[in-house]
Amino acid sequence: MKQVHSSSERAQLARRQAQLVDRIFCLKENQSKGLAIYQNNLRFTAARALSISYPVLEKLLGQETMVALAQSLLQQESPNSGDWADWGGQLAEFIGNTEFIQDHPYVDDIARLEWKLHELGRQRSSTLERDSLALLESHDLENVHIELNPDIDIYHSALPVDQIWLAHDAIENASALDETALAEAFRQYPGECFLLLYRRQYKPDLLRLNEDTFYWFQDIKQGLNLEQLLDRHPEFDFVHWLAKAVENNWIHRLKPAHSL
Amino acid sequence: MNQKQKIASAALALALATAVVAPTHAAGKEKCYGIAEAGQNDCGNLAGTHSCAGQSTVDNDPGEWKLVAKGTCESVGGMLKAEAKKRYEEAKKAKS
Repeated sequence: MKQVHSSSERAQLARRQAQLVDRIFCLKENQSKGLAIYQNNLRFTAARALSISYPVLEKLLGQETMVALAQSLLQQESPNSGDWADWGGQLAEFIGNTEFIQDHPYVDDIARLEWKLHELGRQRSSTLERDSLALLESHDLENVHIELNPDIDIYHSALPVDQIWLAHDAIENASALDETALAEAFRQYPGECFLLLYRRQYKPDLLRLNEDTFYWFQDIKQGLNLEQLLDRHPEFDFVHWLAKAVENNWIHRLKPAHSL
Repeated sequence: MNQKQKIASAALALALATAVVAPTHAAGKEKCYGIAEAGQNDCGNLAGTHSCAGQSTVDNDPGEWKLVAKGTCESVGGMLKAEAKKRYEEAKKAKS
């Protein structure tokens, strides 16, 4: 093997490597056969990454469409790390700007939901700092904040996308879909959905919330203190919510204002 | 004590009496390496080449893991983390 010694040789090699990467990523047709092999590998690796990050979307759209979406998305969003799991976050926005969305108005919302679930599945997990609960008596409520666990998120859609996601998450492929059960779910849960996204034994999952609880979570995420939260949600059952949050590992700790 | 402070005290009392029943890391489970089919792993691998579920590309890769009931890993042909890590380090040394 030839050894590269001089800095100019190393710089030249780096330039050539960068050019090769650029030529692979431009994904133009009519390239040399060797380059086409790298490009096909890139296309299918990207499509596989999307199908892992968006498993329900793949069941809805099919593998061929995912390959086409991956190719189009690559032109817009290049991977910026060695981990393909980091790539593909702009898919919902990309789909939302295509004509496809006119006939399938729920698809970009499904994509947005799946990316959130995907990100949440990669968060570090933490457990409740139980001693911090004492702040409820030792501090004024205006100085107490609730810190949610990092693997907790919320999601809202004008459509019942949770029912579509749940129906497809449970099956191997779209042909196994129980359309009668899905129609029944739509009848039972029409209109918008407010969701809590959380992780159960490493697997991301979702839970339908009522509107009040959704906005309670949202205000916590926006950093309101407990006094503000209780003022803004006078009818909210904080007593039972806190017990449920402890039980389900939704919160990491209560923290005093000076630690923010 | 005002009304909100009373609510906070009641919340504290109930929360302290509540046990955590759904930790993210399931009690009674363990990470089992070398048994996940391609695309069926539960989280990031030993090599650090990916960081999430479903990203493995090879069946039964010794660096990939799935959660299994505690005590059952070796009976299904897998390895616990210490052994998997040891083998991974050995394989890495052999390659270099």
